[in-house]
Amino acid sequence: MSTMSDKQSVVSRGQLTPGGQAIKFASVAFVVGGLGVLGSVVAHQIDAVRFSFSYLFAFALASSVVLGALFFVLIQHLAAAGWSVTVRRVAELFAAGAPALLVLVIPLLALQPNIYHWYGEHGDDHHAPAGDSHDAAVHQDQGKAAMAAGGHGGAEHGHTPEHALHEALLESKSSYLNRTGFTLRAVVYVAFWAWLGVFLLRASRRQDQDRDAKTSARLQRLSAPLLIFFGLTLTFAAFDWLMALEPTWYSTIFGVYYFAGAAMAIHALLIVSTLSLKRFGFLGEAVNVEHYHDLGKLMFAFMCFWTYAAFSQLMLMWYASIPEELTYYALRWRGTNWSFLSMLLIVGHFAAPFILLMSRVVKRKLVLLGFGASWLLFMHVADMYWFVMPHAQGWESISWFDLVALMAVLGVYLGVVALWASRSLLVPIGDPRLSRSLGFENL
Amino acid sequence: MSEKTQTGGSGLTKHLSLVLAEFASPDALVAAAARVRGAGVKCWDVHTPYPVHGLDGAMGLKPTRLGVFSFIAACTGFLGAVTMIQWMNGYDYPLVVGGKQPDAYTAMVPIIFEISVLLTGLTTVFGLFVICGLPRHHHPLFESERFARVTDDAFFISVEPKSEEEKHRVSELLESCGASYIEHVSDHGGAL
Repeated sequence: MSTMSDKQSVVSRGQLTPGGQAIKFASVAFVVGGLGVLGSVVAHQIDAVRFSFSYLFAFALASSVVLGALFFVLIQHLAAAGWSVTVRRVAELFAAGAPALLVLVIPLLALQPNIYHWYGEHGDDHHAPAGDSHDAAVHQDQGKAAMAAGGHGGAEHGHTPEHALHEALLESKSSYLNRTGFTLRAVVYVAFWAWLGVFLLRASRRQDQDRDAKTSARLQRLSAPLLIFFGLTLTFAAFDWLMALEPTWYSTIFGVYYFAGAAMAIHALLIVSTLSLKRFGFLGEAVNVEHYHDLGKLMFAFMCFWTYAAFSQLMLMWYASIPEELTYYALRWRGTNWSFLSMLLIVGHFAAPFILLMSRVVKRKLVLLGFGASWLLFMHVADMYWFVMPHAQGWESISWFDLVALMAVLGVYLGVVALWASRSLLVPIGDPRLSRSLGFENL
Repeated sequence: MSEKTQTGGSGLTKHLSLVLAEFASPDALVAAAARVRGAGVKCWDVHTPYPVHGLDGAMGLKPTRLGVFSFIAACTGFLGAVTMIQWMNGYDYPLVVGGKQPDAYTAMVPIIFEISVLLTGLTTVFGLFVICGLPRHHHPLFESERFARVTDDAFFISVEPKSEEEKHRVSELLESCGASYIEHVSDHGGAL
């Protein structure tokens, strides 16, 4: 059975080459990104500390998409999956956007003194923006919560035994949590992801030309060790960038939590992006309801896994009730805005989509599945916000800072993805398992 | 063996009589299944060594109702667990442990989850038993020597005709569908 004749019966070559359309999309993305950069510069002038947190939020979001895409491609190769071949290229494109992070990580490294406070870099008033509408009462409140663990931001900051203890803790961690280490590690993570994303796309595109089945076997062999490095870099990146926002706080499941959100997000993104591609006349029947059904199942599963990781962390800390652990949740439960966001995640990131997406009928109804996937993508953004922003103490609501940071980071990232797309086919036509994917059927 | 089944099994007092047709390939089987369905035969089934694509559609199988049972069981488990723990820990015998509220939901989640999953799992398994008519220790199809190959490389359609007249009609139908072999089996043992 020749894969090419199968392929042509389902989809024409024109439906697989986005070419000019992708260039157009890339231009739009870069224009949006450019506007975002301009806005970011202005935001940084107005309030550098607040903007730094916004930037970290946007960067963590883009990284999670890249990581999700890398995970998706690696796991399909490792499992020698047949069903996913026709959607794998789109994931490869998202993964190949990773080199954008090489540029996007530079502002993060430059802004890190505004966000993280390592041992010996302890400015007295680093959290308080000079002379803005800072609510002293709120600040006092969260000071109390943080003070229990000797955290930042208390009114008597710098003069208490708690503070001395805090400094001692930071010192004990300073061989890992320091500026040089942070910078070097960030570069290593991002460089590895960038190499991996480009490597996976290139290998697959070469197979489009030579149709060499050995490539698939080789990628399967390589995927196992690569997944180990992937897991390590993801976990430590989550520790470095997000967990270290409160350097005295730690959770062993933190990397899993970040991963679970990323894995859910990539399945949601694959659903949304392939549905959009189909709307613009691409992919044809190469991606059909059977593939969406499976993507929907996996998205649902990783959504539940996210809940599992989130709850595991919450329940242990709630039970133990140790002040140095509880600061994390105290920060996210203070005031109406943050407790609303926390509740929104419980309901919107789990309970509501759990009921909506449970049925097979819904996962095969593309309008409903597309809605569910879009909603979960939005919830993933909210989750990233929940990770970062409660630490930007003194600010209690969203701001246009977050929007311009998102525009800048996602604009550049999606622009790079679209540039790869303009020179790629949308389906890996050389994959020996392609016909299995085209004829795939849920039994 | 057949004598025993006949006299011993009180559930099997109604004698089953079946027409068993073998097909050479999955494609022939799917085509035949579509025709049997079209002929309006009520009591019939298809037997294959592995899942055959397109067979469900050709047979006109409706989606299983098992999911509905499972969903009801899950809701029952969820509500039952919430009610049980809230009543016991929050109202009937509130006990402060580790300074926590006695009726805190955080502590209840694992129990709610376990009870919901347990009840759903058991309901699904035993619901499947009920829907499939299990347990059933013997079926006349196993009297057929050829039928043993159904777990290996053979494809079969079995029909349970209501009358002698229907039996002849079905046999002719299956023959015209290209059955490579047709056998009449019953729990009396052997061909009729």
